[in-house]
Amino acid sequence: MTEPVLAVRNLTVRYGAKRVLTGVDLSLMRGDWFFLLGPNGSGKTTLLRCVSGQIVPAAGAVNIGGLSILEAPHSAKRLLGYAHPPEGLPGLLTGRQCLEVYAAAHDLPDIGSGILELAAQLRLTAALDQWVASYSLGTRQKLCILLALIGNPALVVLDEAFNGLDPASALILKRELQQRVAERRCAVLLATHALESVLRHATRAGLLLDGALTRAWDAQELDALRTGDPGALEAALAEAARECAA
Amino acid sequence: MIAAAVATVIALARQFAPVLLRVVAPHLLAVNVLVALQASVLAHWGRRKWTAIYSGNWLSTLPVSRRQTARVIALRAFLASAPLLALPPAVVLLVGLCAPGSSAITSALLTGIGIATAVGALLGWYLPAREVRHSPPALPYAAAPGASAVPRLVALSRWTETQTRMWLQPRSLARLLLPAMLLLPMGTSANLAIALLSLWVLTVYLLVLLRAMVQVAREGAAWLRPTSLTFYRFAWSVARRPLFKQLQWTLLATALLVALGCRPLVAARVAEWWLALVSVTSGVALGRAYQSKPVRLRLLVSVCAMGVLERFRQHLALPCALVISAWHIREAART
Repeated sequence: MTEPVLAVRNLTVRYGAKRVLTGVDLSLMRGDWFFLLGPNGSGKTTLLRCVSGQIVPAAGAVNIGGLSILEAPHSAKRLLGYAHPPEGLPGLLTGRQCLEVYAAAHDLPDIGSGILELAAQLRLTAALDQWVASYSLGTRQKLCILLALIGNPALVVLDEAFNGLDPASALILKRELQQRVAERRCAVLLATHALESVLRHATRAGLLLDGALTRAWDAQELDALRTGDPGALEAALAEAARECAA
Repeated sequence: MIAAAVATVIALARQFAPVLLRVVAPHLLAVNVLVALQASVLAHWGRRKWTAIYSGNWLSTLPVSRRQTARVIALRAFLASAPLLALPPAVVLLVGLCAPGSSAITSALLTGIGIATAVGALLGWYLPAREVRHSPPALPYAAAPGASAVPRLVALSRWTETQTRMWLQPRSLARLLLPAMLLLPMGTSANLAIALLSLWVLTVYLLVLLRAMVQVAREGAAWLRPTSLTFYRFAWSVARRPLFKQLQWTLLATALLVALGCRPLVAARVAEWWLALVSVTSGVALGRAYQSKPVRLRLLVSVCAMGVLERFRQHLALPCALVISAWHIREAART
């Protein structure tokens, strides 16, 4: 049996006295595109920050490719591509410098022609030699996703990554991710509110409510939703939220 | 820790209070001018900042009169500047308490500071506000457009310099030069004036460079946390060039001090203290930022510890700074 790319077990996170995540379990294999759904403040970003080693959990474990992000962070992070929120980019570096630093930080021998080609497709090439501080929100988002894809990571973690992108760029990036997932080069964990994307691209999805994964959809269930009523997923989410509240 | 810091401040004040009063006494007017300038700048910046905020946020859509908004802006600007405005009188009070028989000079200073603050704040408040443009500096370090991208961390070490140039743009530098020019005594020769102003600019540059490194350490560590970059590579990349620049320009400033007539031993001691401060700040900032822990309190305690050690025995500040720095680096490397 192959090792999951991401294994989250019984993850609990607290901010002071407040419990933000409670006993979250999640396992992703290569070829999975997992859409993490949930209302604002449900803990999606916290979960992603935990997975990327930015937050130390109160309890539980996060393993990437079998390596613990807490005990072997450097080895585990080699397999990780995390798309920062756009405001986290360094404003006083150029886009090209960001790519160079990120690739060097991952110990890569080169940036990879695929990334520069993708930048060209996204019409980012000219902006690469300008300060990140001068970028628009969409341009920053593109750069964040490019950084996450550097070095063909086994796990790509994206937080609302398509917000602010123009439809053409979003389509290019979704196709790129779809191709990587279809070829089983990586697993993608994406937090989003865009339900139409779930139906179009997800292989699995989960609903996070009040810090707990309360409902999950596997590939068959998602297929059933795709072929049935287009509003079914929305209704299923509302139903799950009602059950949780009850 | 806080109690230890307060105790150290009081101990330092007791030691330096008489010296400080002796130095300040003949320059009461200069002190008042500086305080007035500080109050004027704070009032002006505060008004500009809060006016921009209140003209753009959701409150601007409510039917609130201009007078009420102006009152709120004045209050917010005052509250934000209050700690800095309170600093000079607080220092004077502390020094006055620690130096017996100095009540006359302390009262004169306090009265002068009070009047200067009021006048300066009023002037700053009513100065016409100009539009502010925050533009990053030109791109001296960027690759030529279309150049190939190679994995390297060199941009990290240049980031601090870019940040320094961003903060020290000619307009900001001109403002910083103004008080120094006003403090030059009448009849100063052109050569001496140029040397003194150069020393002032150099001091400001070194301070800003150090502050920029702390900022870059924090931002860079947060940005690169999801990567597998080790602490040593991170610290070396961020600190290499700024530390070299610090050493280079500190040596130049020391030479300038000697050329201005300062005794070589005194100049060397100033340089030693500055390098100790740079060393401890770099070590603490890099180590704590990499561990995503707060920097300020640890830095304050470290500097106080250096001050206390130096009080017991001279020339201990630099070794102490290096030990503190090494300890923080080791801690960060373990994570």
